[in-house]
Amino acid sequence: MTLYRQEIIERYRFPRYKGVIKNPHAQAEKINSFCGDEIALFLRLNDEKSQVAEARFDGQGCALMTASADILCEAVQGKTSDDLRKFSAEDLLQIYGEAPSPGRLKCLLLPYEALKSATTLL
Amino acid sequence: MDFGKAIRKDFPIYGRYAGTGLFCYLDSAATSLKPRVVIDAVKEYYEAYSTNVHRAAYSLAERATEEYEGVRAMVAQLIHAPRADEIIFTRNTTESFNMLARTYAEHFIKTGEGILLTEMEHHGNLIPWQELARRKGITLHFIPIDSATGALVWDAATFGTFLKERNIKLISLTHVSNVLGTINPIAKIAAIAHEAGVIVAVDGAQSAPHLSVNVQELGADFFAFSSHKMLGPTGIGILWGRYELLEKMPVFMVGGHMIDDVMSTRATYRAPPLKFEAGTPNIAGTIGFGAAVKYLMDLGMDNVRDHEKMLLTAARHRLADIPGISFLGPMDAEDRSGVLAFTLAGVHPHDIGSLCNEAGVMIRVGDHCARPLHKKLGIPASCRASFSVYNDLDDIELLADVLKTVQKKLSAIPVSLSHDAVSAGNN
Repeated sequence: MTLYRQEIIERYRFPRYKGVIKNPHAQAEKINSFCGDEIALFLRLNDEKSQVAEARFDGQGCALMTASADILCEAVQGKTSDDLRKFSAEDLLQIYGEAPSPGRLKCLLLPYEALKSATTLL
Repeated sequence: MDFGKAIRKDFPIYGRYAGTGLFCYLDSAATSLKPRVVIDAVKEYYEAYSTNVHRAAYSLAERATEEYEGVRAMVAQLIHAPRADEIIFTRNTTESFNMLARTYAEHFIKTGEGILLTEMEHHGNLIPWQELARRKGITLHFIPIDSATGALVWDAATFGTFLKERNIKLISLTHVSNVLGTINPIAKIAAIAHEAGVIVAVDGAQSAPHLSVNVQELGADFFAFSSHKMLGPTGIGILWGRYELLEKMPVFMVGGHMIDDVMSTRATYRAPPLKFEAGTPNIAGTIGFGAAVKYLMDLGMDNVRDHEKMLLTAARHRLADIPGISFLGPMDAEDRSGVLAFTLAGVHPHDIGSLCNEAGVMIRVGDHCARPLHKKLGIPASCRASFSVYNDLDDIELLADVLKTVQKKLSAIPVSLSHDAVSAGNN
């Protein structure tokens, strides 16, 4: 059992959704002052403004936070703002796969907190 | 004298995980493992004489009182205190500093006067002073540290003048930094402080477990430390103070046990140390701590220091060739004790901690309750391996192997703020 299966390490080293969206429809930043992790999450909607067309994250942090952000950006693609509001921490953890120790849960959920803040702006 | 692998048989927890390959404990600066003699002493109290202290009408309670009070003399001997009745039992180092701030300092330090700390203090020797400063309008000053060497930046020639100009009345500083490992020059600082009429309180949480401490040679007025970091039970700490200071120090917690006489509207209190120990104390913990002190004194604190110095030197040497590793604190084992903190370029300390854990290596990651120090060093967190009497070279080998694997696995592309991958929005 490892928190660092190959997919997680790959998403950390070569994140697919790392970047900045200029003029996003919603954007939120979160920091974990405990370990210095910081994330900015950007959401862009489709032309009809009905669905997430694109999600990106930027920032710096540990492998778990980075991989979690990458997974989250992929997962929210195509979701409506209603879907986003219903999207729960458990949903993210389920996609992530491994259950983290209580001490590392915060790392995984920092991107989720950013998503929740960004969602309120849609 | 035996150390390391040769004495692991004394620590039952090693037996519990024998053969799993998952028990490499390198976090003794957080709390130490406990030898059988300590566990047995606690068990013996609960099984054979679990009675209250200081109110004996029967033999078992007399035994409890004797064992409990006997620990004061042992602790006094350990730190070379002149009198056993200068040893106050608290819960831990943090409570010792809270007591000092709430009693002695609250009473004797006036609004507008100053308290001097250092930039390397543990929160336990920082927050109580912040609160006191806020309550009373006292100014806090800090001796800076040199980030590169981990040493305090102070000048003996001008220090006395500095203390007078800033109206400093108390210095509270750590003997050994729990992050940098730096052994501070307490005796030199205290000598100048005393000439200026300044009281010196010392945080011994990271020195008492690792060095031969002599509070008189250090010139300390108060010295605080914890049992659980030196092979003893949790929930028992020490505040040592010079008796004449304890005599005029106001009470802290009040209630049963610490009173001399009680009328309906007022009470008189016992002499130190009992006037600072309200309520039924941690009897089992104190007796267990006595067994820990005896265990350490039998090993000999100078031998403990030699063993840990050997481990520190070996660890620095063995870890030095890991790409991207940077050590915090002094280079020379002579100037440091007990802990070895480090960072690994491009790898987050929390990932290092988790991957070490998966390999059975227990280290601490984070700010180690010293956030201002990490801010000063310009890092959010660090990793820390710390040693005690049961550690050996095999622990260091394993740590080095795991760190090399972690480094290969995670550090290829450091994650940092990037603004190159910009996707154009069209809203």
